[in-house]
Amino acid sequence: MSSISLIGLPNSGKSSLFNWLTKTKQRVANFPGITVEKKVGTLTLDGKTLEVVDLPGIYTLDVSTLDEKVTRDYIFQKQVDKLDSTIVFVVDATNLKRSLYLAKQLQEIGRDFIVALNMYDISNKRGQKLDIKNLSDHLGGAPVLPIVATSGEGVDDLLKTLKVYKDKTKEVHYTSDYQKKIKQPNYIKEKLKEVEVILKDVVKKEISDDTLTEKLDSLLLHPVWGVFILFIVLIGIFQLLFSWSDPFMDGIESLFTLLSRLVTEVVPPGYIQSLLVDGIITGVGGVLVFLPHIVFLFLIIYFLEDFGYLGRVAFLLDYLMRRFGLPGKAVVPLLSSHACAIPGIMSARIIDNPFQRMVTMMISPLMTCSARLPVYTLLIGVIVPNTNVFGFLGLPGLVLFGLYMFGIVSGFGISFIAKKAIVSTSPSYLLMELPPYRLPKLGAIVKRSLNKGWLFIKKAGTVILVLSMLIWTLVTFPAPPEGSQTNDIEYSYAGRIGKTVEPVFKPLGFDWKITTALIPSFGARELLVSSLGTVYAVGGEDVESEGFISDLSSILNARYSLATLMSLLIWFVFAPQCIATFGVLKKETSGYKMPLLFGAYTLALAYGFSFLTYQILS
Amino acid sequence: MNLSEASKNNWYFIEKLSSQDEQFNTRLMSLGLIPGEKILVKRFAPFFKDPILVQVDNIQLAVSKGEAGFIEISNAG
Repeated sequence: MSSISLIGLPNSGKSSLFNWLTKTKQRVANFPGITVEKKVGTLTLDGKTLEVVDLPGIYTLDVSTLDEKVTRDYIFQKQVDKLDSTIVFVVDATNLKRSLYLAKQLQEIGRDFIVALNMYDISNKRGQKLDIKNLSDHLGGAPVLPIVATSGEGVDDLLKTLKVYKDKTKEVHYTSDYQKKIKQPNYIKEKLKEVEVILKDVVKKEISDDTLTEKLDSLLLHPVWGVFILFIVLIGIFQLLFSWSDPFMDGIESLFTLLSRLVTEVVPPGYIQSLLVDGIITGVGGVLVFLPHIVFLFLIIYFLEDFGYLGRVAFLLDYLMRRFGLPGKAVVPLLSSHACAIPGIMSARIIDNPFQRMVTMMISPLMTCSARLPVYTLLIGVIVPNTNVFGFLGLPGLVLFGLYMFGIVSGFGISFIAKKAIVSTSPSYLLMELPPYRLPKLGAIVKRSLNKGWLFIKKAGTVILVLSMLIWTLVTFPAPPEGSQTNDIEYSYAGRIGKTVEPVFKPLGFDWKITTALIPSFGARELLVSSLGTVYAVGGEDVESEGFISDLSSILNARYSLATLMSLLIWFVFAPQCIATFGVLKKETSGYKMPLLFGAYTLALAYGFSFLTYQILS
Repeated sequence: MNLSEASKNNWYFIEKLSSQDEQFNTRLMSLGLIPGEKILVKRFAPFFKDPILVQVDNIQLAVSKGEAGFIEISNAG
């Protein structure tokens, strides 16, 4: 045995067992050539290191989706060169019938396996009595080990069995004849009969109804209360995301500010200092600052998922979201993107349909993230008079609300167009199992969330760091000659690029100072404010200070027309930003195609809408 | 009748899967929606009673209304 393949039905608890077997030694890769996520980890058994693979869930060998094909090919040894990968079949003890169908198929093709009879505690609690010896006999003597994957109970016994287990599988091949055969209704009926025979022999006492799930569903799926609670939950996610993350983000920022100061004091001014402070420290800080959002969002998502609520979200919102070509679950990534698109894009993994997941990731950055707020606040402060509408609604607030809505409407609009224009190969209907409610294990959830954060640093961190170094280079080099009156940024590559592209952005009302300031804002949107300050050489160190903002505001007011400022505001609704978004898109789609497509389409939209705004207003 | 016309808390037998899409039919079967099986319509989603939640064996399945139209059923009392 050189590896262990975990197979089983969806929701059977494979991933929990995987987490127990591999602890922290896991990584997520893609299967060669396709974008199906491959979860691999290692396990040390008797001093031997074994690879453990968590395969996508299947119900039958007659597979239909890309994910399921991966599992089938693993079982038939198409993807592994050797036949010594041991299959651990994770079976939900509370739902034997379904798993037995697949088990009979494995037996039929002559593939050996070990059964991990999961959720044995719930099965017992609900009064079910199983004859494990009989079960093993019916499955050709396959070892059957009761486990509780969420708590790790029984896992030691499973490991002991694995140590001595001898897989006697001879070669198995997937033939087109077999493929045809297992599609036949008669075959299916035949297999189901065999399953009934086993059940009669194994189930000594039937399982009682899951009254807890029953009761919870009558509340949580209630046409009125269910929707109301969902609304509260969604608001709650958003609130928690902010209130939990804020102190940590402030902490990370302070830490990096402190580090910058320290370096500034120790290292003499010059390129080295600038590289360390503005390049590296700012770049690394720019990666780490996303961590709190990512970890906390996944903490909430994993909790809801393990509890069983995410499927309910999909059920409640499916009708509404499907009008726009999105699944009900997409509401979670899209909502989270209002804090930041990075965790939003990452959380799109909860969507099973690959096409819908892709669309959700592409429109997530259109939601108004918190990095846009400083830009919006500055520009609204200049453009919009601080008056009331209808006597009580503040106009600036109303405009801000309008911008939020604009982002949402654009996102759904694009999804709608994508649904109509692109014929997706994956089916878009809802056909989904709603699992019973279970109490999540907090420890495991915390571990998985931290792991997500770590994966983000590893996979997306490099791209973000490289791009932010590039931006640093653009705004730093070359420095103006000694005694020159020119502003540093004007003389730099950034300034030169800004001037070069000025004609292109003239129809949008942007001059070279704005286009230059847009370059650093590519790193993080809020940097537009400080870089506009730099371009206009506004004094004062603290960008957030009253003086800085009011100075900058009066310059913008004097220098630019309403049309230009409105156009700039609209630019920020769509602009292809920020570099972290590119980094995370690259990580999530394992390639450069999607990030480039994202850049192209948002650039086109930003240019188009800003163009219209400027031309209409001027 | 088909599943999209079913009413809440009623038991039905699955008679036939009538979609032209073979892939879809096998998908339904792999989830347990097999002709001859008995199902219970448990609830409807809030908006336009779509999707529908049915119980087959010990499993709860959400099926969107459009797809439920391809599942022919008869009353099982």
